Amino acid sequence: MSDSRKKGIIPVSPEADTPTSAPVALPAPNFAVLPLSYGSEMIPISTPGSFVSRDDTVSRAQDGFALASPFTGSIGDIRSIRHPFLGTVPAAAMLVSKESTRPLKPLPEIDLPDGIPCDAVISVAKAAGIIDETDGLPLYKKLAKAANEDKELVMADAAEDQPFSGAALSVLLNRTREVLTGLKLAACACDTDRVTVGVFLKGKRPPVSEAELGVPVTVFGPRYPSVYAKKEFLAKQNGVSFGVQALAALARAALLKEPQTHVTVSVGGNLPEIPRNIYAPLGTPLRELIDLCQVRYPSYSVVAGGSLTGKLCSPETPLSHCITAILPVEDKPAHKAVGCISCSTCCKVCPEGLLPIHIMKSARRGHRGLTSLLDPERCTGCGCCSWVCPSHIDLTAAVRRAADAKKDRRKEVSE
Amino acid sequence: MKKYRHAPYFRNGASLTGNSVLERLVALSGVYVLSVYYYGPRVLLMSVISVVIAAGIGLLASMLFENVRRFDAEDILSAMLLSLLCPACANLFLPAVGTAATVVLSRFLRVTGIKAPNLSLVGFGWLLLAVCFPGQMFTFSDPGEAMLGLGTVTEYVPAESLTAMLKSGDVSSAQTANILLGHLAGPAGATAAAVILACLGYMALRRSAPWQIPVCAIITGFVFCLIFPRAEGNRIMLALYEIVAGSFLFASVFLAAQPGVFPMSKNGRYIFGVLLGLITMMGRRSFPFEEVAPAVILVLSLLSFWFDVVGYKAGRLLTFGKKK
Repeated sequence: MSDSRKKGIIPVSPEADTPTSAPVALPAPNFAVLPLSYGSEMIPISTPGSFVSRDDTVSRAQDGFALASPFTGSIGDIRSIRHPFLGTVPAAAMLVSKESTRPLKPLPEIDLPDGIPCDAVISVAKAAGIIDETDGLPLYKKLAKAANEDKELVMADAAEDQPFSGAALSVLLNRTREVLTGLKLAACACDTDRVTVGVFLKGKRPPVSEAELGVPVTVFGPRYPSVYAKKEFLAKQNGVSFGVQALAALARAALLKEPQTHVTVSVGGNLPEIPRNIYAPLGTPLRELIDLCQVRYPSYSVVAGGSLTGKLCSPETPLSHCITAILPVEDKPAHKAVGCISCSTCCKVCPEGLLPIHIMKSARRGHRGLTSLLDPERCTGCGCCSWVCPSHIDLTAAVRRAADAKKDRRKEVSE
Repeated sequence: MKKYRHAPYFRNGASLTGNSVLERLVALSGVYVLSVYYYGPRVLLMSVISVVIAAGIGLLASMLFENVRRFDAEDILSAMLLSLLCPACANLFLPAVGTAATVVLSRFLRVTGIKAPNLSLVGFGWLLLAVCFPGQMFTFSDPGEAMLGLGTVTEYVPAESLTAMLKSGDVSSAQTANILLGHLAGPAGATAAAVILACLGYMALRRSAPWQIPVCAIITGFVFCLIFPRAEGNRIMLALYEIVAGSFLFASVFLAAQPGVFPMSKNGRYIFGVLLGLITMMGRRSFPFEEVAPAVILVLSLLSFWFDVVGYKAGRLLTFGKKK
């Protein structure tokens, strides 16, 4: 594990990194498609033609986990959509009325008592439909698991390590009290008093200090991917991490009884004239967020997620909890791939110690046994190899293809 | 079929590997300075002829087979390396013949679908010259004497190279200070051990060439010669002579540490380096030529992929249980 931490890359943003400034509230769109399911089986409560108010429950799981509407408006129909992060899920197409927009209420000045029972925190997270933006899991499930495993440290994860994404840091810096309150609630649920805030080192100094926050700060990086360092740290400390947006939502749910209906998203990349963080309602088409950043480009594609692990998707894709960065990119690829020059940089940076170029070449030549020997399935898809390749070869996709082919062969053999 | 779509991988325009060819040319300039100091501008002239011929053949091949006009930087580099591996007193066109053979072979392989980098084929050019012109390839002039003329050299003071001395088992006339400064008979650019090591340090610091192969080759060769000396005398000094003699050091720094020649993984490079040191020292004892290092690199470069595979699997076995 220690070797993996040394590998990876230092991702320097090329031109305009997304600022960590305060998020701008996005006005409600005229039309939205609200996903109604997150991983588990959920039953839509609203029916086509029905009218819903903001914060009304629109779908509910059997265990009580509920998703709320961020809008006031009428539901046109319930349709099945293909979402890059959620898969194929039911979604409510909504005509939104203008009174949906309302300013973010400040958190009341209440000192939380010590010893809040775990079940109380979990039930708040469940009723508010909070999803952790770092992994897309419902927060109540993560809290229950952490409580069962007697975790001793709770970390607020604001360590975004990909270029152009500054949403987590923006939430931490601009909604600090909400994050710290949520962190305290999560610590109560895990029955521990040890908390920390994880940040990623971009530049020479950490973006925030312990003196500013009043809680210990753990700095990761400067190499991407920081997931290895985080895992190692949490394993050593017997800890668990939660996304800062989920923690802020937990605080709002506990003190204001607000369900999680909005997320903060960074809109960056080379195309927006004003890269910014936007506080946007779930279900909003990504195009609305991009338009707010003034992209005056005739034709572009949208990448939901960071520049290393994001997914290409349509501008009409509805916003979900897991999308914390949006990058509008030119349709035409900026670089054309050329032949491998055998520089070995891909092997040098792979955090898993794989040999991406050999995997790609042996798979291309049809050497199944050899490809299998090089363990393509261990690829985490971090994208470091593709990022550093001076020939612009998409090694990550090639390794994933090889891994899938190996998986399929195994299935065939077992059948 | 599943469609794999990737992220855009935004990054700045600067190349992350740097201009590796330029780095090597800068490193080679140090070697050129010393060889010109010892043998005169003849060394430069030999290189220029080789470079012109290599570039010409490369250009012609690209026009014929690829319908584009372009120079390959590797052609230039391989011409320079091959001319530095030839004796300064050899025929002016000798390195050019080897370079031409190298470039033609590389283009032929490229046309047939085998992508072999030129630099791994420098060993082929060297081997061809050693087999076809052994008299010229292994006859050296004394660098301490007057500078060589630019034309065909007919009058020069022949001198025995250190590899020949070691082969005959008599190293009584060898002087350590001269050896480190390259003041001894041998290939034009391959004798200055101190300068070559400085070039290795430069390239390693600039991260333009891996240090693992030369270091492992030197250590393995040194240990092997310490155990099996070829002459009578101080074993440590004899092992040191074996390392700096001939083109072993030059080849392991400039030929082996080239993209396309060396294995991709660190473990693979260790294996490559160890085998290079071992086989070169064994080859010097069993082959009729006094030097074999460039030919050994040619053979090992063909097996680079397998060194990577073995190194990768060995690394996995060694770290089993430590990593997830």
